Amino acid sequence: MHELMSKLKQQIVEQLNLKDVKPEEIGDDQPLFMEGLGLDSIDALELIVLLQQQYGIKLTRAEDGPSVFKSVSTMAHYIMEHKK
Amino acid sequence: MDIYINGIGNISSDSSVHDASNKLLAIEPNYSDYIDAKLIRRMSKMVKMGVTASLMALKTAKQNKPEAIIVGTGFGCLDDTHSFLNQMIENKEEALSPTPFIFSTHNSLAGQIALLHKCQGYNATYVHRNISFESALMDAQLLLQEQSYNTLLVGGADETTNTSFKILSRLGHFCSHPIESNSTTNSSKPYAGEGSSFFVLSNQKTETSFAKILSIKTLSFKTNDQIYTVLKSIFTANHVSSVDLVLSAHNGDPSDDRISQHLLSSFDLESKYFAFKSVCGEYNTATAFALYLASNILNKTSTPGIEYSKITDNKPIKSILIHNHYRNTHHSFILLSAC
Amino acid sequence: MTSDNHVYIGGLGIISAIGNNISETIQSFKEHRSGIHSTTYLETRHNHIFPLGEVKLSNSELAQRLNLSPKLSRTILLSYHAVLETLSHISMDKLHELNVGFISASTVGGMDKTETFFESYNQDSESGDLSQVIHHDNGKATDYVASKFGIHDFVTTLSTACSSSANAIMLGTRLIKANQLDVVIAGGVDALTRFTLNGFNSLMILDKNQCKPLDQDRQGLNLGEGAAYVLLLNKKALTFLGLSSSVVVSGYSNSNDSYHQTALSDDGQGPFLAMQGAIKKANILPGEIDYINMHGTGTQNNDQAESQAVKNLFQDNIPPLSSTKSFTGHTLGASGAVEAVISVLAIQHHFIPPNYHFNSSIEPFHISPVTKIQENVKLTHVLSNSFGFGGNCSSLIFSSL
Repeated sequence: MHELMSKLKQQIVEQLNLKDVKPEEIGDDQPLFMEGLGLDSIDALELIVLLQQQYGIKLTRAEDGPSVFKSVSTMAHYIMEHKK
Repeated sequence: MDIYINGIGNISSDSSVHDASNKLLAIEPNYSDYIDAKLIRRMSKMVKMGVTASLMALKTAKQNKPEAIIVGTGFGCLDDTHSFLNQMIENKEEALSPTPFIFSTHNSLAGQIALLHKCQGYNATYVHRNISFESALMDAQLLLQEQSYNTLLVGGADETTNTSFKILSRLGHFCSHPIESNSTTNSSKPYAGEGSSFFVLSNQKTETSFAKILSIKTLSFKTNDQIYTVLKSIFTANHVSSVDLVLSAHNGDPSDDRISQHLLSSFDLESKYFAFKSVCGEYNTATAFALYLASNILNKTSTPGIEYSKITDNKPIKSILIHNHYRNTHHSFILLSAC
Repeated sequence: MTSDNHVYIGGLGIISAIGNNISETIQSFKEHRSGIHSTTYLETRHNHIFPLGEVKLSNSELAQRLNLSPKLSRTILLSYHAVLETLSHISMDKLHELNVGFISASTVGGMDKTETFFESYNQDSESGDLSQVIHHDNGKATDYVASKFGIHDFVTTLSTACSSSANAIMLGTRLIKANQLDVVIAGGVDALTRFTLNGFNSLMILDKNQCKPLDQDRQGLNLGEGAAYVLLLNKKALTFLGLSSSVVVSGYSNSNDSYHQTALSDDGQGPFLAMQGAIKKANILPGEIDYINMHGTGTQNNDQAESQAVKNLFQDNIPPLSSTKSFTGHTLGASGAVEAVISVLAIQHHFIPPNYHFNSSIEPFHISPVTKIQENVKLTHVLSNSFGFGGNCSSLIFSSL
């Protein structure tokens, strides 16, 4: 799980082009949206793409986004539950 | 109606050393000095150049925020367009990143500037080839005449990417051999350029005024005689018979240059012109660079990398005509005077 | 004597999923026939997933009808088709004696050909048929059509996402009012492309079924394609060309929502300012609007924001309204003009076009659109909305004198 979260942080930084953010600086439970990392709705769509491209998981309802992408930790859990 | 240029901002190539390059790429500033990091991450070069040039223009005009925004761009955000196309083809239309699609829309620059300043005023983007910027300028003139706004932010932006350069070169538009000895005038085809220039315009003169626009005109599908007649009528309407300097459309292409030269000689202006594209290169909104250069010359303010003595012969310059065309389809004239 | 400063509408042309011309378009509304179906012409992986509003003619059929090369981009073919109809009753010789402009608009220009070119180019940068990529830029279709019809006095192209052609009509009107031109053919065009289909899919705002604009249960938009133009004239030109018209462009306004690159603000400020500005320009009161042709894409965001703006502006006096995108699909750069033409046809032929279908109104607005065509209605003032990416919001008002 720790390895997955570490990899996820790297992928998030790359997918969202967060040049000024070091992956290790993102807290496991740090809110990704609004406060915390301050991501927005376009980033949410990019994270959906990340899930599909890197993990083969298709999130078909944009409304599920907020709960899945709450933090790196919730993302990792979702991946573990749904990965084929 | 006269229009005052009260603020200017520019990002483009200049006359510095270009050896080994076959393109006149823009000399880019450190964008993070101007734009928040969270926003920069999504921006293509075209948008970064445009946003920054617009901020520079607002700063020189001593204005915090624009009232209305009009942009001209011939090709829009080419990099994002290509990026999304690439993905679409490689991933076979699955799992595509939305960011390049969003930013590929031609109005994303004007939209981004509005977003930055929360500007809810008039907002338009013109995309008509080499008169994209001129169209934006004409809309601005109309808005000022309508007295809809006191000031307007108007600009042009176009980028050259490796892909666009490759394809346009294959189509015979650009010179492919390197610029030699820093001279861009020894080619038989134009050098590809890029850049963004922005202006704050008003019908009021202020302490920051650079110059005055007296006339803006575009001509489409006209003969040489018709073009001559229009320029003559522009001079007549403004009670002048000539100008001190022409910023001319010469770009290295012999047939394009023949047309530019013919116009100059029709008005005895052969000794009074400067080929502005020798500095900025050829791109759809290059006229915007010419307007920036003209503003500085008339205001006696310097333009980085350009020695005025070579252009003006040390004579006082109180009036400038900008003439642009590309392949003789759309011509534009902008007549300016010092103010 | 008051001088007549009106900008008249003396001609219309339209091609979309619901018809190749004006009479077919009207007929589709009368027969309640939507043009949104599963894909026939666009070659895409999403073939049977997303319904589209395609023009029911292939490129070769269009080219044959127009006596043009089938190698031209679909964008050029659609634009030319619509302009031909717009000018079909005009003496071209007489037209060329006036000061005439052509103002078109598009979001993706000749992308239908470009995306084919890139399939080869991406494998090898020396490959690819270059004739496919010369149509790419937005100005190409405008130049081609202007040239073919001999329109030389003023030519330009706008691109402000979904409000593009509304802004073209607005510019044409303003240029005539400023006495810079006598006549303007103004409108826009967009052809369906894999680029736009996949782009909108990446934003997750496409409906896999027939779209439900203004419905609580809406799931997104259906893309469409088409072209539409209006012939704008001053009084002098109208008379000179032997035309008569009692429909004018009476109001127009362009504002920016400046909230997000692709979404409207919750309170619909941009749409509100656009509608309010147009009504003010027309010198009328909100209560005088007889019908609103809503932007109504069917997305959660647009329909909510637009409804909020309508509620704020019209309060308890909301006029009949509908979204004709449920018939044509969202024609992007052409939508402003497509819906302008529909709005003018509504005035001229005394009908209110309906929503294609509707179940329940959006909470908490309780705004119900017209669901069956209303005929024999006198419409004096019609408001047409177009809101797009980049916060670009434009509204037009057409009035019967």
